[in-house]
Amino acid sequence: MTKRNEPFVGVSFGAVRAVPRGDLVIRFVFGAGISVIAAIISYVFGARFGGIFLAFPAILPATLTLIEKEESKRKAEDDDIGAILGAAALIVFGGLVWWLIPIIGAPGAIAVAVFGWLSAAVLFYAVLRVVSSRRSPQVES
Amino acid sequence: MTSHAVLVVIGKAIIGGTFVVLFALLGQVLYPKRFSGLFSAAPSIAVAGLIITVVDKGDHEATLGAIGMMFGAVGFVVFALCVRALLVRYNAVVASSLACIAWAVVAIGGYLVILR
Repeated sequence: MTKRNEPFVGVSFGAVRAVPRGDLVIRFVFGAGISVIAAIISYVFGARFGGIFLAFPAILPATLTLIEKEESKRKAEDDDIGAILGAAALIVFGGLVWWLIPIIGAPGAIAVAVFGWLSAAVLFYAVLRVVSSRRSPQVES
Repeated sequence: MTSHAVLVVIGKAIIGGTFVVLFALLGQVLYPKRFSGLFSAAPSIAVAGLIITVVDKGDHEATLGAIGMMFGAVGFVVFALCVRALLVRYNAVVASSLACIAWAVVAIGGYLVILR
């Protein structure tokens, strides 16, 4: 359901100062840990199988847990809806890297794929907003 | 594991952790939550892993990694859908833990069925 007056996107730089250092440490350790697991699996079983773990949900569990603890379960659910769209865009990212490396080389392919991921994710979000605003009446925030 | 391989793993860990924090901070400054949630599925580990793989082993290994990654990404979509359903009944820790099983089944199972 789309709330009345809810912007398409907004930026609040002050929110960075509100993030506890401990939360960032947890995310760093989790990200580093998953990277180590992916690297070891690639080393043992090969790059193709190890690649599966490049798309392990590294940020989401910690993010949802922190949002639920510090804000509300409803906001955690909203964040998860965004993650569904971002994950769908991750398929686009992988496809672009695979397709473009033989054509333009890895550095260019990875850069284009990051832009492609962002574009696809924002497009999916825009479609969701249009669909949800048509399906349900707008409510006061 | 050779000392070179250990260095590669350490490099991936440091860059992977850094990208996760950077994308998490990006998600933190953006709102509404549905938009910032996009960055909870950002290719943070992937970008770090692919960059180090390219530097260490070249473009071909990165292409192979991208193939595997697409299976992981499909698993990620299922993971996030499962979390959405499980959050109705459980807290985020339990929902995420149970959804990891779904990720593994879809990502690893799909890979083994299609590419083996």
